[in-house]
Amino acid sequence: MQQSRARLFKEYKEVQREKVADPDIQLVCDDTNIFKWTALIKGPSETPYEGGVFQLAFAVPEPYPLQPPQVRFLTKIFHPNVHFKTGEICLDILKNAWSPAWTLQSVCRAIIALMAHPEPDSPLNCDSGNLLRSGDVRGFNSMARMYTRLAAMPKKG
Amino acid sequence: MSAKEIAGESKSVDDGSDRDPCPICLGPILQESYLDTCFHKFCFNCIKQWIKVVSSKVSKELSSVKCPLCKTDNISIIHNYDGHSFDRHYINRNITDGFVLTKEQRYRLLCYYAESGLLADVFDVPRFWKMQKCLQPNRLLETWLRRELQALMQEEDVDIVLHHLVGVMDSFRKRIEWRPKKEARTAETDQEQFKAVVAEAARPFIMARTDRFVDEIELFLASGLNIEAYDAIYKQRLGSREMGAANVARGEDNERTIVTPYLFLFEEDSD
Repeated sequence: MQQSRARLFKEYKEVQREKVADPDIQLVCDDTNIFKWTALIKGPSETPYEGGVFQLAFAVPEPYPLQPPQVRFLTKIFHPNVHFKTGEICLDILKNAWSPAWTLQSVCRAIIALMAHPEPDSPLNCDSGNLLRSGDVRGFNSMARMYTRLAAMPKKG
Repeated sequence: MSAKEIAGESKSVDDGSDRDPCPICLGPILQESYLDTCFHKFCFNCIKQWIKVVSSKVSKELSSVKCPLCKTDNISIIHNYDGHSFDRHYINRNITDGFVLTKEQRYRLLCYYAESGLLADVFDVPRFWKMQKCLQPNRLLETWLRRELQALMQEEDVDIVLHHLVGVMDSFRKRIEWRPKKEARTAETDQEQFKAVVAEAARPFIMARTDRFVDEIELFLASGLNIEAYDAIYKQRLGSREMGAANVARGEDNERTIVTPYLFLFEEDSD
């Protein structure tokens, strides 16, 4: 418990330091609970998520960093590896490929990379995966962009 | 950039411990240790904990672990490095369990860490050199060397080092054997050269204990004894001294026996 707390505090300090360095990620720790974090990430450019801002929720387990944090999308997203309803993310580093050298910040970077490079062969969102697997990139892009507009962009006017 | 951020930055620069942190706890590295292949650095406890987590997920005994930073396979953690020696913590505890030092080897390690010159008065080392006894091959040397190397290196497979050392000693012997009479050196020069050559060959493997090791080789060769007899003498000297110390501590120093001088009989036997 004490170890994970100390490590999360270091990460908190690092985040304060890096804020300027990585404008695509904004990590915020819960005011009262250092084991709860949220992040805002920018949709990567040249993807249907471009222009969107997506919110992630982190639940850090007590044995962290020996166990990975649980991360899910709070913002709705149409992506083969994200569960459409729960926001659960299928990403190897969040499961068996986890390494304690990852940080919350680097997990965010990995999720941004996953947004740019979906893995349609291990889908949590089958509709989305099937579009890509059948080669309908246009169909996939238009669905994903629609949901980005609907859920991840501030409403104007 | 806001004032707060600037303050935060300068504070982080001051905190020197953060410059090269352990990738697992992100704190300053405690009990610096390295993975044996990729040499990435961690706190000893951090990397040990991680290995425990990894091994709890597989049913088989783990023999290697992937580096958390670079995924390279490593079979041991190197720690307690003091510039001369280090300890190895194997991922597969069976490697160390499978090769446990024998009782004799543990005792021999004790000998290496006892003060040197303990047996200086027992064997006549100068005579060994004067009589050029080093020219006689010693059949027991390999067996004895293997045991010593295993103990000192704490490794089972010492074949390469063993053959290297034996080869170096053989070629030294041949050089003395074949050199013309007029080029004969004094016994002291031979002795010095022998020790220098063996030390050079052994140092990369034995490191801090090299000089002591070379002295022991010389002593064993000069003794002309078999391994058991050689050990027996050590036990008499070292064992009785320890026992003596213990007895003094308990206030009953009535049984501090001195080594019996029957050893010289052996020496005459050896010719």
